[in-house]
Amino acid sequence: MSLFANLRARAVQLFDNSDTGGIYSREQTKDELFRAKYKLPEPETPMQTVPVQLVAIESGGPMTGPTFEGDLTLSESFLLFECHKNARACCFALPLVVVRRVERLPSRNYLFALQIELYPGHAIIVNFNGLISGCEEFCAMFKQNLRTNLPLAKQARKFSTTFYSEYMVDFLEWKRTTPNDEASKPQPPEGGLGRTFGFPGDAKKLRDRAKVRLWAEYFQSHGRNITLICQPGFYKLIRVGLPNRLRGEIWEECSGAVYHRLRSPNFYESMLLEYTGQASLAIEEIEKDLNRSLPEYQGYQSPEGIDKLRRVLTAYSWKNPEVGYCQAMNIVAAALLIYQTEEQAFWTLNILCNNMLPGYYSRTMYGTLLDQKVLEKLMERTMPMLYVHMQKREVPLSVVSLPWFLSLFINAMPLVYAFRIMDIFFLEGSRVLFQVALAIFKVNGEVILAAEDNTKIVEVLRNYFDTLDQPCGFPARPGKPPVTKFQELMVIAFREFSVITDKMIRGYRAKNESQILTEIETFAKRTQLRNLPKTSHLTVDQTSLIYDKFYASVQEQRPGLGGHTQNLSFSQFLTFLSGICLSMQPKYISRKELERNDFIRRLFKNWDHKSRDELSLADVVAGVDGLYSGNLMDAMNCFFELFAKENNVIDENGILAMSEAMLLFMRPFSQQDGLLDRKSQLELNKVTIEDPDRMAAAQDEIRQQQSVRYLSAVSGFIQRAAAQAKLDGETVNVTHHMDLIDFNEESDTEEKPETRPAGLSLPSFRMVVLADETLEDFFSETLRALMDLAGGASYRSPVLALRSVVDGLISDGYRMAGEVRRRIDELDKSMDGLDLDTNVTSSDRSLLED
Amino acid sequence: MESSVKPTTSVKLVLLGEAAVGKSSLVLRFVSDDFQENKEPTIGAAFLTQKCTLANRVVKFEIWDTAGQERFASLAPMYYRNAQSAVVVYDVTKPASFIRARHWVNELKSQGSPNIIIALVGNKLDLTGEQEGQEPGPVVSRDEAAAATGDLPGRKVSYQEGEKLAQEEGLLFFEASAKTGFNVRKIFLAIANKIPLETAKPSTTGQIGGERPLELNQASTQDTSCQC
Ligand SMILES: Nc1nc2c(ncn2[C@@H]2O[C@H](COP(=O)(O)OP(=O)(O)OP(=O)(O)O)[C@@H](O)[C@H]2O)c(=O)[nH]1
Ligand SMILES: [Mg+2]
Repeated sequence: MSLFANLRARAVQLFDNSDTGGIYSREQTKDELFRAKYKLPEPETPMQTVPVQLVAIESGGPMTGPTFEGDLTLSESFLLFECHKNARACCFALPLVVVRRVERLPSRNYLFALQIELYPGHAIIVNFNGLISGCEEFCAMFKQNLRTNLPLAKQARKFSTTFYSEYMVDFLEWKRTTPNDEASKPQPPEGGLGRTFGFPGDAKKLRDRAKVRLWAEYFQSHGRNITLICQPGFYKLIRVGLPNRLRGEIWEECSGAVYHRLRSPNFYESMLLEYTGQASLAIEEIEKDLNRSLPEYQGYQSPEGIDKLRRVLTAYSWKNPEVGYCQAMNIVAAALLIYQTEEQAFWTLNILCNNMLPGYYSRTMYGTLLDQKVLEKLMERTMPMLYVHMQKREVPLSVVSLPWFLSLFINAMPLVYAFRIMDIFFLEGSRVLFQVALAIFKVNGEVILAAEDNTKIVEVLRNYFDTLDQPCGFPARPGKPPVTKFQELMVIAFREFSVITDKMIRGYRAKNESQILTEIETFAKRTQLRNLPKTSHLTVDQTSLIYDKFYASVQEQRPGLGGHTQNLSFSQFLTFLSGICLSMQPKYISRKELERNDFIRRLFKNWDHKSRDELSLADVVAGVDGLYSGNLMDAMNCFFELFAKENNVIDENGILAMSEAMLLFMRPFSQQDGLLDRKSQLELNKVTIEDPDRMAAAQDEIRQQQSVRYLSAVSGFIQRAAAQAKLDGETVNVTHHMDLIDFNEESDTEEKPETRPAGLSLPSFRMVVLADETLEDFFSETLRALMDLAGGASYRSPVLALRSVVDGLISDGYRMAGEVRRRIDELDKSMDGLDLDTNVTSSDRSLLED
Repeated sequence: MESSVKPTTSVKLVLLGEAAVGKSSLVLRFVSDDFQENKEPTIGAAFLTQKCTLANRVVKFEIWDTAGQERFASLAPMYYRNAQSAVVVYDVTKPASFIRARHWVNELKSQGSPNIIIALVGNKLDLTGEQEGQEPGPVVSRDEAAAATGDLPGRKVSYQEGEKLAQEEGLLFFEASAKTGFNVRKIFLAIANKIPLETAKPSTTGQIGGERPLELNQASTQDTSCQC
């Protein structure tokens, strides 16, 4: 026993330390890390990696260029490179469809070399310097993958025409070669609303033209859009703020959304088409906010802008029904659409909500809540004084920062500055939000510390955002304009807070995730239970238990993560039933059998009030409440209702179905190794007292008898019910005289003798039941006792579930014995308060009864 | 200034209600006497303050205007924690928003501060086309109401329904319009008047904090001078 206990304790410890059911507490897999690093879509996986020396050759230049030592990786449809010393020195993720030609070059210093020519004209030379076998293998695989991707190459050509960068380079080429040929003049591709309605901010002040020229230069030499090779110049150009016309494209490329658009060319359009005219809660919510998204921007005062916004948000909600629509997404999407086409914005929104900020906009918004907690922790670490000060406040400052994160600063700062932050955000990820938020607190730290109350703090911050374009008081470099508060903010965010790393943030998220989820779950449960209709039989604790089992059946994940399904499907209903009813446990009925069972189907249909083919929590609670009445009349009514036809009688088939249902419930008592019911237990007690040696033998005997008793009760029911049904049909006019027992008001009101066809009426059903003691017991107590609603356990997280598996493996025997005992205790208590734990009194009493 | 001689008390107030019923618009009307046709949805919550001058004192409202969408509801406790007063808003033209208001009232009753003062407000009265300030007769038939309103969406939640809920739960009750300004100040004045002097937190410099009212309550139970 102590060995077992030891084993169990160790196993539990092991499980407790690992998975708490969240998304950060789990280690990322190698594939996930790989995809995250290069922002690749699923299901790309790293197939082979070799160390190489890479030579990046500029288009049109000589066949030499800067060299980089690094790792070359091949995935199903990408070729990836990352420089060893510093990833930013050179890296790329090239879709294989952009490879035009691969040539094997002789090499003096290396094993061999490949020259890879890319479509826009630039090329790379790869010098292999690893083991020859590895390199040969890599090349073979590369060849194979190129072949697989070949059919898509044509599409990629067309795809490249959707980029402004491609147009820029084409235009420059046209100007250089045939500037007088109007016919061949390239046309810009479709773009964002800004191209029609203007871009926020003063383009001149933003030095938009100069930036465009610099980008053009970069694109010409380093490739562009999906053939881009990222070198330091690329990051610098992003830091100074993207030019208006390229912003949408770079956002798409930095976030990896572009690969999704490449991979699923017609997805967005067909999504919209497929769901045309369909209604949903998300659509209702979207409609409310369409006119409330960046309303000051011209484009959203016109139907064109509003329609685009509607389509993008709606398509997102159909693609991600578990998120649907969350306020703040309208603002983010509205911002995207100023710079991106609908399709670009759609994919970028997908990446943003699902990958970059998971859980931010979900039903429970756990990502948002978690990150505010993380922000507090980071403040505690980096600015302890401010943190302590903040803690004293009625509303913590993280509440102030919550909207910043949800709207990517768009509804806090003037648009031009929010977009500058977004430029960096799409490149570097959610860490940027933390860095900027911390910098804001830092810059305003002294004023916050001095402020006498919350009002003042909020005011200070609001003023701060409005004056971001003003000089910060820092001495300007000679000949340069004064340093603005925004520039100061950027420097503090990315220099001073460069100590904030992705790993650190992930660590804090993992540490705090479970607590946040538990808080959310507690809150959701409290709210839902409060809003449920009143129950007549179930106690608050029992309803709470049903809630737990309901959600455990609906979702595999923790409810705090806000999964989509809030209702039970039929299959989940089966899981739920096995959880709350002893007779439906796998021990007594197989899943397959349960699935086919007529009664279970009736139950599902009967509880499904709105005929949606799924059950809400309210449906289920009401349903169980009915079965759990523990009141003879109510239980019989409830059962009858399940089988009655519209005319309020049960026909012959119904009688058979009903008896099968009874048998289903009675299985724990009719099976050989089943439980003992109250009557059998009393008998056993008697034997135990009279002749303890005979107990074991008697137990089998009593079980046998019990089994026969149940089976014959049901077969008797069939016979009598069928006979009664016939009689009911023949003697329609005298039905009420057959009711020997007075059933109060109901039997009178049900009399409609003239129209009643053959079949068992409710009063007759009751009479047939009451004629048999076992059946009477079944409805008055057994049914209720079979409901397993005694546990008080709260939601079972995967840890708990695993723990119980361990428990189960080790102490299954004990548990089963305990279970049987508990059930019987309950049966007894519900009857006459017998208590088996105190043996003497219980046996005394059973003697007395004789 | 007059207010400088009167004692000032700070009162934390939270606004709750379904999305787009006009919570932010009511606050905007109260704080700046302004109205915006297309107000952006509130993300998380917004914080504003406004003073209300009564006969014998000044009440400074610290207003937390919350986001209305269902999924933001789990954030609400952060904002209504320690709030001495709440305004639960619904839209008189949207029955669903009235159901949501009922839920908010229940939540505040069970999770909010024990003696929280709640005002129930049916907003967008202007959309009913009824004459302002003229309370509708005991029974207005839907047809009549519709006929009177022309193109307007018309009233879908009767005055009586709102009044009944308010009576059952002991709430202040108003129908108002942020657009026209009708009854808006009245809501806040009524709350201010109901704030007992001793539970409102005095806005003394450097002594703010949610624990404040609690501390005061505790102190008053020890203090025999408390008037119970
Ligand atoms: N006709 C009319 N429209 C109103 C009134 N109050 C608000 N509105 C409009 O209703 C819309 C929503 O108003 P908001 O004040 O933003 O609503 P809210 O309750 O703060 O919404 P959330 O922040 O999303 O929870 C806006 O377009 C307002 O112009 C009113 O009294 N009458
Ligand atoms: Mg609002």
